[in-house]
Amino acid sequence: MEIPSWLLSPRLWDFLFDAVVSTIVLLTIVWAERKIAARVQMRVGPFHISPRLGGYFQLIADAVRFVMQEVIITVDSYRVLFVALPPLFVTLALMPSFMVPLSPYLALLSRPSLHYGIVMALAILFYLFIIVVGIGWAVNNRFAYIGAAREALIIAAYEIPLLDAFASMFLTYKTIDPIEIVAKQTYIVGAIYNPLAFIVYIIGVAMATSRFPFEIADYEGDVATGPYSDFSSIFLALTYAGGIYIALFSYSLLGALVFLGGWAPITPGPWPADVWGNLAAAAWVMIKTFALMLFFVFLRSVMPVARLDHTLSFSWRWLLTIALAATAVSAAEYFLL
Amino acid sequence: MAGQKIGEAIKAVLDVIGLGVKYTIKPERLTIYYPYEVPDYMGRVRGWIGLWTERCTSCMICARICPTNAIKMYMEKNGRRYPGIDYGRCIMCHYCIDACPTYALYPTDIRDFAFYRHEDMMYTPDMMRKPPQVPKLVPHVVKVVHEYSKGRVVKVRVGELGEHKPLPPAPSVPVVES
Ligand code: SF4
Ligand code: SF4
Repeated sequence: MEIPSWLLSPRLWDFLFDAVVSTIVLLTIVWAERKIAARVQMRVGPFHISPRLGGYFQLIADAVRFVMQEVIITVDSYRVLFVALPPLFVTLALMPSFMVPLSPYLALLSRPSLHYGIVMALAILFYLFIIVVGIGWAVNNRFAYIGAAREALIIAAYEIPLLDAFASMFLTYKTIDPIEIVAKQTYIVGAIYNPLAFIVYIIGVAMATSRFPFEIADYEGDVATGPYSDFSSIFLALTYAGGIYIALFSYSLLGALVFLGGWAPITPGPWPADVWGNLAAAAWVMIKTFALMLFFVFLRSVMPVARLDHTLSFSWRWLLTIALAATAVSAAEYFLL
Repeated sequence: MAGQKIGEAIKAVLDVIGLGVKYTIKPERLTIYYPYEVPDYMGRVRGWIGLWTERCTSCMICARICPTNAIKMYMEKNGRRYPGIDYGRCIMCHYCIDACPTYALYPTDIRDFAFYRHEDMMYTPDMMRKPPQVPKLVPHVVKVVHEYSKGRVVKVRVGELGEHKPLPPAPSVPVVES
């Protein structure tokens, strides 16, 4: 029996692989975050739902709770945006991961647009946290206002260094095409080509996705989850309790491609002939993404929360300096390599 | 100066990450799985409050001292008022016991009592006369010990979970016949 050609389309497989594996990665990462924090704090963490699996299904129980909860839209909020922004947030957070290839032949986009995949993904991710400011405005209470103001200040502080880090890497590789970028990292990964840019990337992403020690806009001790402070039920799951992790996934996927070599040592053949090679390459990218995410969520268990003014001065004074130094390194590499 | 500070900051960050990784790989857990394990309170726990109605003079000092207004004075058949505690409000501060001039209220270490309904929390004077029956779920009391010499946390059993007995009444107080 002939396999219909649409069943082997790389777009379908890329979509399915990304959707399924990202769901598994997200479930695992939230569980891992809780377990790691519990271990460092001498607790046990999720346990009683599925004790044999170490409480892995706790998250599914939580998700069911979020979905079943009553939807409350507060009186003072701007109702249209209050309802519209959380789905928009999660969509924009997930979109970048569909714009980059998972192996040389598995990609949702085709050639001319795939060339700009990483740039488009970055553009969307930088829009994403402007939506958080919008959420703060729509929620309309004092904590949301303070949180949104903090988020706006932090966006301004991390965006330029983070963009600079990616731009330096583009300069090093002399291309913005994701497939060529990975091809250039066959022997040496990007983090070794330009460690300064990698440091800026790590700190910038921690700031962008509100990881500790930069959980300032939605730090519960100060502003009661900030912009999301009136959200409950599905809205909370789409933003604070889920959406930010999806954004972290997208950032980590970009980092895995640009800094950790993507599918680098694996070089699969063309798509329909070498299905398993391509899937192995995609799985290898996902493992790198997971490792990056694991580092980011690990920070929660060991880091304190930085003050807003310290963060801003650190960012504008040091992070920007390191980012400029990274650009200088890349410029040197551009002419030497 | 500034260079030294930056060096210290970087070292601190690396140190704390190292410590976190160490605990992630080799955790030391202090959690006691109550009610499957009962923690050892070393005898210093404020629990259920008992009442000897024979000693009570109905002076209402306990009701007035109570910071949460948990004590209500109930009229009994003999025409006198005795205190009854609402455990929904009581914070177990035991001020009432300290204030009682005739030692009519007495402390116990009963702490494992739970209620299904709010009405069940309202104790009337006759309910306060004998300690509530608390089901014994586990036979042992455990204690978490940090063995600093070996650098690990262990749970040890520190004896059986005993029966709750009311304390003997304080001596030499006049008993008021009711
Ligand atoms: S223990 Fe404290 S709170 Fe409870 S009844 Fe006595 S005085 Fe009131
Ligand atoms: S229990 Fe003690 S303080 Fe309370 S009314 Fe009786 S004698 Fe007075």
